[in-house]
Amino acid sequence: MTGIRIENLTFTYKEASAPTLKDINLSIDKGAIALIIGESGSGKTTLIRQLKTTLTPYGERTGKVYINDIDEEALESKERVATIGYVGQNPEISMVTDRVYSELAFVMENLGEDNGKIRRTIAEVAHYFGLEELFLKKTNELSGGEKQLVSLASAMTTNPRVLLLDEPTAMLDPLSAVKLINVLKRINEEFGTTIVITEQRLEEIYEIADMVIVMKDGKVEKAGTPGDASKYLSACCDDNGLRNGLPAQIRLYKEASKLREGCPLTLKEGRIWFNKEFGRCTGKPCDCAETGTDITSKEEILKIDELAAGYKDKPYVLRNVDLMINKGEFICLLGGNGAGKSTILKALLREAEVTEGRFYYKGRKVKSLPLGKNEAVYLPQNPMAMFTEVTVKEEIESLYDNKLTPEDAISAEDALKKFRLEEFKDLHPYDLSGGQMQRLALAKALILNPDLLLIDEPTKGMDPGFKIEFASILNELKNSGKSILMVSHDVEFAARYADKCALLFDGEIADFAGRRQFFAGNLFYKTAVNSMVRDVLPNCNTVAEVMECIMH
Amino acid sequence: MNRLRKLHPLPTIIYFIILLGIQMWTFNSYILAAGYIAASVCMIYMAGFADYLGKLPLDALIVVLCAGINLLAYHDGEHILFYLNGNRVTFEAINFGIHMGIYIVTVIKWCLLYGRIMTEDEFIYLFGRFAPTVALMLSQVFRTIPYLREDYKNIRMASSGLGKSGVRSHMEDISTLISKSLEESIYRGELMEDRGYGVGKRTNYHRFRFKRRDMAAIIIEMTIGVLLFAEVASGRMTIFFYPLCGFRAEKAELITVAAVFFIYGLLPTLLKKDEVR
Repeated sequence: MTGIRIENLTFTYKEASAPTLKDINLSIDKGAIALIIGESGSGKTTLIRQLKTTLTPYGERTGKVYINDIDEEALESKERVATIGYVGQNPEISMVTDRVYSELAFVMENLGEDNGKIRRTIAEVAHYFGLEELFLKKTNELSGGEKQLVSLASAMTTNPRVLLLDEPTAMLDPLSAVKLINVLKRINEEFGTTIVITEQRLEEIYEIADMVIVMKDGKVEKAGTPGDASKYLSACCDDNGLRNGLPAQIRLYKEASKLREGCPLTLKEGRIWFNKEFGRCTGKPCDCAETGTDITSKEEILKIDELAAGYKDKPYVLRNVDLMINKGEFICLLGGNGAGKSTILKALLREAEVTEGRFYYKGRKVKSLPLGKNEAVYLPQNPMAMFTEVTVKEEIESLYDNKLTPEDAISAEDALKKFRLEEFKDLHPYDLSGGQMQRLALAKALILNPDLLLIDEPTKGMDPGFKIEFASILNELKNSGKSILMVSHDVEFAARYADKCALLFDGEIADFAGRRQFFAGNLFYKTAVNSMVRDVLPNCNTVAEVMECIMH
Repeated sequence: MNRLRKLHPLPTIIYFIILLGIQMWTFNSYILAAGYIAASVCMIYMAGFADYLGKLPLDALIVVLCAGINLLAYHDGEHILFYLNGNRVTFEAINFGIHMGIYIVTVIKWCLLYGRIMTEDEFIYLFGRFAPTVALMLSQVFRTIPYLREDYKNIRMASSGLGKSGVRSHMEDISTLISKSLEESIYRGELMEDRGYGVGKRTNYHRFRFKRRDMAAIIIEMTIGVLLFAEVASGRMTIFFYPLCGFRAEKAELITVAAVFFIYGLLPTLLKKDEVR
């Protein structure tokens, strides 16, 4: 008995000219963890949504889906709800009720279960997922990771045979992401639930997958064990999108190894392989020890002095923050969940209460940052918060003054072209995909020609292909003398592209240094690549840096 | 003294229905006085003396305003105090105004007390018994309001972050908030449907079990309630203001009824404070 069987599945969205999924044939074992990977637009999400009728979008479908050898379409509604669980990527949208316990009860209430049964199940589930402390809490007060855990727990209340997860860790910080993946692993081991999951962040999940399905352009390119898939992946994908998203161990192997066999599947295997292959590198002079960008004689654009700030109920989130940004610098502010990274940005925008401290902008002391054209601009975490108009074109045009002069109109057209939004110009901003929305948000910010760009967690949920594009736009900005302050969890992104990094902890900046130096000493705050190569090349944080070193 | 733990929502809501029912149905000085003092004692017990003092100026203002409006609008009454712009200012008019002010203040205090004792999920539960859909809707409302508040702040930051300011940008932000939340509700609805909403008749999970003492509480409340309502319904608690202030019943009866109401109003002080907000 197979867990999930897909036969000759072709799916075309309504009003689309070509099918998004083309003749898919897959067989997933019962109790297996199947990981679907692929570039943005390859059809991953569409495929997962075909496995449950209530998730399938409008469109034409041919072919069949079988869950435990039963035609999925033939399932009764109640059975479907109880047999197939789903967890999405946005923790905000998945919460329906106001308390954790009622969220856990939601599915069973819908199925008409009696109070006693619900009570028993919720007690078990809360215990299993470690939600006892959060049981009575309001859902609004939970962190993103906690919300996703509650979502998962709620889906598990019916003990489903199949769990579908669409990028569940996309919006989470690295720690919560790891926690969630571990819980999934436990569920799979202890209940034998068949899990089908799509993910962008592959390091943790790749190791535990039983089956990896590589998708491209709506077709299954490769489906097999992680070993098979790695072999295929290390040979393929010279297009940036998929390659950039591969787990670090595969990426490194692709670049560094001449072999195509024996690709490491886990970080541990990667480390062992690297030490074996390149252990002789130690002792050779390696200029990876350089401290990074030259920070002499640059003009200061922003200085934060002794900042203490917070909110009404938490007045001292920040206790004593000192930070300096020079012209043309890209600074990444790292720190754990709740450390106060966003609070710094909020303090600059006067949305948090500043108890002490001074801001100096371009040398002048200011109460709050001057915002807008040619000054500082803030890019929020959720691009949807920025959109006020009904079409993409109007969004861009709204940035110019009321009466659009002919020059402004041309400039707007150019902006649309530059950010590859021209083909969407008549669409409503909400109809864009995640990456397209981010591009539009970026376009809006950059048209104002900011001298200082403040970005809040931009890479959350960003697909790897767009990350590269995003980085190059930032680089362009930097090179034209503009400065960037980015708040992020994304250690990998910072290690690759930032000039300097700062670590926020206990209300202070615990470490502030050039990129290389920042990561050089760290025990825990390091990139996946570094954790593999640090015995040989302690100062290398990215695949590119490693390649540079071993070329010597 | 060993205080009681909170009751089941049903006796709690019955308590407040009777309390507010009596308080709002009478305008009697004795019952008003009893109500005001009992409400104040309860609020001091729940929120502290500093909180009570903090509210006192506003309460006084309300009383003064009501007295003031009334003396300007009504000129009946036996005891004329002075003339204002050719109009009579009488003691009875001021008296009525003061009564009105204290009435408003007392009812507000009872409502605040209610807010402290009854939580949202208890309130939802009461609906869940016979209208699970309404219960769910209430739960969603209670979730959505803080969420929208937070989201508005983010939208505000996004627009001020682009340099926008002024009334127009605030209006735009509200519009963005509405559009965004409508958009999200489409997805949320889809997810709800996926999780089985609408598949059949819904039940409503609740954490509240009826205990014997809840039944006892209801019996006590209803007994006192019936007695008080009987007194009020009979019309014996009526108060006259014009042309002279007077009551229909004897002083002894008025004091007894007010005393019973006072004790009834003090019952919340029997609750343990740790479960109350």
